[in-house]
Amino acid sequence: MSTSTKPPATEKPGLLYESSAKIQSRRAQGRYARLRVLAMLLLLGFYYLAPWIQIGDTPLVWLDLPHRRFHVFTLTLAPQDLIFLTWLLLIAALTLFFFTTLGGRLWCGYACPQTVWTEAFIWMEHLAEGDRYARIKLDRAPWGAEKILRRGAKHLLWAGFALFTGLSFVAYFVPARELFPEFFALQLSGWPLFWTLFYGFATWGNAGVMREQVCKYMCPYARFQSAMFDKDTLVISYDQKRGEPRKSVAKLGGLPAGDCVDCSLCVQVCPTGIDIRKGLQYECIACAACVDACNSVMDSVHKPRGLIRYTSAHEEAGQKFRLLRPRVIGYGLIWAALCVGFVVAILLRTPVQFDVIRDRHSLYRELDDGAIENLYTLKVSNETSAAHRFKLSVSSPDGRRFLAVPDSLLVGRGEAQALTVSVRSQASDDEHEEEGLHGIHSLKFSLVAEDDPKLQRERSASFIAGEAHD
Amino acid sequence: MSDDHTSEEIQAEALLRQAAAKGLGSRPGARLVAITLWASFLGAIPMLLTWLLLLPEEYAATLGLAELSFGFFMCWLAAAAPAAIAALLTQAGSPAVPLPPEAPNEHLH
Ligand code: SF4
Ligand code: SF4
Repeated sequence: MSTSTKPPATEKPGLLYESSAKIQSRRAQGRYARLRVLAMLLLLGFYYLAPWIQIGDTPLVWLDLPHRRFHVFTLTLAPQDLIFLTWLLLIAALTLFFFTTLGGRLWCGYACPQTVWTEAFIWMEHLAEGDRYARIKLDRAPWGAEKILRRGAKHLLWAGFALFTGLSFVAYFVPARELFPEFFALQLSGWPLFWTLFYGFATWGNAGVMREQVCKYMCPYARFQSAMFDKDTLVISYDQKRGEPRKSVAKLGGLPAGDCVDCSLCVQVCPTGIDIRKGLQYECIACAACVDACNSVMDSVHKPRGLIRYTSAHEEAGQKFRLLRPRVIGYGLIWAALCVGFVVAILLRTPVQFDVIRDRHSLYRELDDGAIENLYTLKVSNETSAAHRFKLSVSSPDGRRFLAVPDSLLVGRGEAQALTVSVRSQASDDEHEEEGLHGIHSLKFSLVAEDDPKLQRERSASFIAGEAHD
Repeated sequence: MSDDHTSEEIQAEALLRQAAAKGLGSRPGARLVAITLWASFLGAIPMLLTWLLLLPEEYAATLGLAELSFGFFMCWLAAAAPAAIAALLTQAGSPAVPLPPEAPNEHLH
């Protein structure tokens, strides 16, 4: 594998240790850097494209908050589906726990939005201002045309990207095909504009300015994830036995030197500003930039790679690395059970919700033709991806006939409707039967989609027809 | 590779010192504000979702982006109080946080 991080001979240390100098981290290049770029492209690609992808006429992901409908990959979740949302969150948490136990801070190093957007912002900074040495030079240079041009280009790139990020964020709540044309026609206003600017500003601040400080001082996950670690969890570690005494220490003490040539590249590339040679620290986000940097140094001094590498506490102590261990199996089993359960529950779920509530304000009414009328509120929610006309029918187990008015309703996709329906007892051919309509009767309300009879729900409700006769 | 390893070592140490002191690292007040804002923002998201999902249909019918935004800011404000208290109580120097034990050679520095 070829790595292109150059040893520092090409770079003058300059006055880096002056307190006035701004820290400029070096970009590592190598296997893990490529993996990070790949993760960034995949995740950001999904983030920016998802609001544009449509399935039917619904976006792939659309969080329709005003209507309280969450459209996610053809699935439409309504407030009644709170259990599914909770379930999804549980799966997400378990996924994180499972992979953290297995591979350490994989989330932080490759998938966290903070890492991913910071990577993109650093790439733009590199594009506008050059590599680390060029940036240090630019920092020290007096303000002139080049500095203004380069700094301006960087901030323009950042601002444009942050604005696009903000718009894409709002596109998860307001369909992208409405939002973007409005934005480009300069007609975006009110809250969509506010949230676009808010999210854009937050992206610019977090990924452009705050960067590693979010991980070091603000992220709660960084602090508690060590609770999920065990002695076989993958961590990034410096091989003390092989590296020490490092070259400068060995030289001072007249000792044979270890493999660490004390080039400080691992410190220069570290985005959180730590020295991995001092042992594992909570600030380490396991980005593996130091692994890439040190591997390139080892290549150039013809020593084996892996002075800094992914390892585990057990492996470091000379024991065998165990992939399958009780904690991993436990998390894995719960995770798999939750995933399978979720899929089964979704497959068995009817995407039509139906509820019947008797009007509490009126008991019953006797109509001119002698029929008895009760009023009901019907709540129908259509969580499918198409509109349906539903046929409503009412029946009684004792064979009496009832009529619902209206007896059909149209419910749009993802829509919920509340409708007042009058249910009337039908005149019977049998005189005695009609006379006998008293007391409380049980009714069955059936709702069937006219174009898809599989979409049907039933509910029971009471029908009051006056005092019961003995 | 540079032969001046002492200079490399100094450079690494300087980088570490600067990184530790950069931004929020040397500004406890700003750190408190940042932690409070971020923690309460995270708390406001599930609060808003819970409120939204438990809201009766008749109230939900009138919801728009303006009401939701207002609701979110109320949730953020509500979450900011416990977040600020927790951040304050865990600041170094707070009676709730025991002082770290003094290192054996601390007096040398
Ligand atoms: S020490 Fe940790 S955070 Fe720093 S470069 Fe290495 S892996 Fe990344
Ligand atoms: S651990 Fe590797 S990268 Fe770090 S100073 Fe030593 S040789 Fe250089």
